[in-house]
Amino acid sequence: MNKSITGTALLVLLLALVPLAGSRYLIYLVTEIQIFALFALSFNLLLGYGGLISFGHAAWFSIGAYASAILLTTLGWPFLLAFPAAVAVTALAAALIGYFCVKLTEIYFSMLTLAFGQLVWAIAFKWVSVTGGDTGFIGVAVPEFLDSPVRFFYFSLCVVLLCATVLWVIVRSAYGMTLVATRENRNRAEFIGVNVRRVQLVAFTLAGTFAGVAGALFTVFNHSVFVETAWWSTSAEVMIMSILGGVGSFVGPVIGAAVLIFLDRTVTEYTQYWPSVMGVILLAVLFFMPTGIAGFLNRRRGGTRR
Amino acid sequence: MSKKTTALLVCAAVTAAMASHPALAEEQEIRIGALYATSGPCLIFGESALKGHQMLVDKVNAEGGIDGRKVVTVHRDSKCNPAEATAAARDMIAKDGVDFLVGGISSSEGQAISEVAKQEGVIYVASIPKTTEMTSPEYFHRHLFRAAANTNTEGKSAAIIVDKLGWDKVCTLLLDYSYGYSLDESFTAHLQKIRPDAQIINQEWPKFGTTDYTAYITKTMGAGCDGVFSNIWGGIFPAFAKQAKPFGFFDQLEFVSAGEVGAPLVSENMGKDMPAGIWTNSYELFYYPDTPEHNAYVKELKDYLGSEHPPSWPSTGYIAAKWVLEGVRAAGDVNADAVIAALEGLTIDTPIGKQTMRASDHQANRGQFWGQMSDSEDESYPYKVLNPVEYVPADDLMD
Amino acid sequence: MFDNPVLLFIQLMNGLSLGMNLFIISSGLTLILGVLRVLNFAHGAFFMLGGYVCFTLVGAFDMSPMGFWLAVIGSALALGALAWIIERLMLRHLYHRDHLYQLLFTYALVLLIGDLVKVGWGSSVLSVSFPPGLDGATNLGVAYYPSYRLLLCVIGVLVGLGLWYFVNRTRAGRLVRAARQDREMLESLGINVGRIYLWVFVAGSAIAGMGGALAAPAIALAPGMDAEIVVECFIIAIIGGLGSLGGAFLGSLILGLLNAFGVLLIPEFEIVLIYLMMVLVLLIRPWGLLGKPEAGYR
Repeated sequence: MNKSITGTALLVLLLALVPLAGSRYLIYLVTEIQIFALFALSFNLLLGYGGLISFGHAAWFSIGAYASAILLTTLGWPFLLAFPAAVAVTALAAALIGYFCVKLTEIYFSMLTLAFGQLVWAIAFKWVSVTGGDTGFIGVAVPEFLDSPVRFFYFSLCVVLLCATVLWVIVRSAYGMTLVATRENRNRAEFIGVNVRRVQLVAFTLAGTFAGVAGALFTVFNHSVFVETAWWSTSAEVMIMSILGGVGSFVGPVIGAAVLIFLDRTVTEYTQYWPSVMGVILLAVLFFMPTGIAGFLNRRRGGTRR
Repeated sequence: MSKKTTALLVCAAVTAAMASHPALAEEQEIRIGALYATSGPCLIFGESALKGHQMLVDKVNAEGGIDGRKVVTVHRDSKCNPAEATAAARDMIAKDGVDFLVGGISSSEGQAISEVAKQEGVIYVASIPKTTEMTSPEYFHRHLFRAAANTNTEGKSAAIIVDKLGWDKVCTLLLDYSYGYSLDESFTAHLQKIRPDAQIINQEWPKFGTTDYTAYITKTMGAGCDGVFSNIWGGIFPAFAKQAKPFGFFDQLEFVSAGEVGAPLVSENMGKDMPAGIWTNSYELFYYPDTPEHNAYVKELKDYLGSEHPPSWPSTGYIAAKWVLEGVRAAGDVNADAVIAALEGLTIDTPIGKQTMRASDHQANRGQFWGQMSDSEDESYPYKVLNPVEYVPADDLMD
Repeated sequence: MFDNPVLLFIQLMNGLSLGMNLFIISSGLTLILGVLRVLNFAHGAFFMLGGYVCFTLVGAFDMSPMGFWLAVIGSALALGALAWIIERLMLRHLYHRDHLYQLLFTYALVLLIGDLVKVGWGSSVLSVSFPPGLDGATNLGVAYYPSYRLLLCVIGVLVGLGLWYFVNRTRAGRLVRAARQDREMLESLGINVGRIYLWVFVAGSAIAGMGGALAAPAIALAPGMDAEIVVECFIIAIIGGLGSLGGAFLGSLILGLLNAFGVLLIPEFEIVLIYLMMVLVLLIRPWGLLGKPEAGYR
């Protein structure tokens, strides 16, 4: 435990020093990694802890992204109001849709989340007057205090760290244990009086909310939102990040997001065959590192922690 | 978190830091970031345009560069996806230190790159995106230049053709995204102006990515119009044409198609499936016009690609790169403000004649080749070509 | 439009023929989904690869009158063989794992096959001509209708009947049905379930390849053509019921007709409507319109 705290503190310190390296590229890269790390962390609350395979997690990311763009720009709300409001909108949407999704299990749950995810995409695509349709929502009104790569870097670092801490506390809490219990054995959890659906709905809503935070950050980072983000392949990507990093550990998805984004940026410089590279990585993880990078490292260390 | 994990993260961070030292742009270099999709649905355009770009850059470098400055191209795959284009554009500026951006294919990619160019203060020359939205007051900024024809030019020149053909009842078949919407606007407005009696009696909006057009085909055929204006562009036109033909669509209705369906590559790939008699446009035609400058470009392209019938898309990348290079030549500097000042009102030679960059909205007066698909008289290329061809200049059509 | 019965009839035919075309493709997915329980995202990629293989074979057979049909069979065989290799080398090692891993495996195939097509066939749009004699229209009494699309309708029905006969009337089909319901039971009876899984995957993929080849003349071949079709196949499988052939047939028809008449009635909302329908079916009857609720599933 002490080791973890030292490690985390070291990492945070290192991250805080990134802008001092003087490379704007590095600032951009790490900002993007932070945002996707939060996205993957939120996804892993469902997958790693709840055992719920959502195939529509892109929906929450993009609802958060569109909501913040619309509140900031179309409605002209001040940032400090618009940002939390966008997150609240996402939370509400996730709770509403989650209510229906947790009624189903296994393959049907995956399919329903896929269907809802595609529904969000279809609405974003067709509702041109509000979302900009396929052109995207361009020119988001970003407040002045965030309109510099360095300042936004620190802002997103703070938000992501805060969210990650909250998620950490959640999974260590009694609720988090219950969620794991519903994954391990749904029937037994029900026997001891756990309302499995309610536990899952809470997880679904929380995961959606934090994905919404990531989406809202992404909007401010890019100054724009694009409908492609809502397409199912984004859901596949966040899934790959989690699996690659390791769903069995809390930091796994963070590692997965960092590795995948770094590789994406680097490999695309040299070859147009990034999809193949990602495919091969995926195969390697599936067959040789089923517990992901984090699990692989833990096992090498001799640990047996799940 | 374990030690190992921390060590890994630290390693990753250090690697990233080392990999990311912005290439120290030498004073002498002109660094251009080319964003052409080489994967995703736009790659047919992206690969070709990149070749045209590279051909010009190679030639300029072989001749000693621009005033002794070498030209360096950094290419990133924008994947036909605006979010990817955004990240790639930002990387090229921050990491590779490019002074200029060229490229973009879909309108959404164009908008995305333009937004980055605005934030970063880097000049962006749009080579293919056409939507007028980009240069509308809401989105226009001084670092954005467009070498491509815009949808106004395309839609209005189509309206002129429709007027010539004498249609009174007009149907449209436009794709359900911004390219289709902007074309609809300019085409309709101009048609109303030059042919007040003409009426648009039916509009269909096939969604982009559709593979079955029969429902739209049948509905359009039942609407009772004289002809159809469409923008089902070159990459997807073959599917549409093959589905429409057996219905007798092209026998019953005249057809005016925007979206560069007349590009030789499209016709070559379609062979006998290309319907005869339709009116359509192209960026460039290797067989037209027969001028020494144009023939020199075509010969160069033939040698560069090793292809007897070069496609028309490379010209888009070629011309965009040419704007950047001529801008630098005129400014004598790679500084953005100097090049912007030099580009405004500049006239350059391109494979399709002289072009001028309008100062007010940074739109080049790129015209359109329009013509009617018919069997080639030249037996060396066994596919249909635009004949007769006419170049509709853009000067009065850009707004 | 509604005052013109001939057009209405043609539009109906458009919906039916599109539906049958979709059925040919989605029946393979349904088969795999029902037995292996694998959400096979690679089905669209197999479809695309089938189209490209057909393009190459048509060129190789030099358009002899039977050339196209040989190419269709060749595409089915090629994709079946590819599926066999994939199953033996990789997929079978994932059956005991969570279905997430199988899903991601098929997604890796999507990525790899997408690039394979780019390397193998280039990036330009390719076109397969209609087989000789089928590029025109046939007189149906009330109206002329494109011959090739009519033929697709017939082939769709034949594929449906063939699969139905196989599943319901043959011994192998009985085993497939049993594997769908209770794998352990079948194993304890000494049946090699692994083989059933193998051949179902091979057959489903071969059907996808055949579907791609049959669709090739009516569409254009281009990289990326797989992304749309796989979602459509999932929608069909969900609406009809996982693993239900009749359901896939019904789902295909619904999607085809919705495509044809949605354009007439609600062009603005057609695309939203499709996903909404998928959501509604999952909420009201998760096992699909013609599927059966599984034992133990509430």
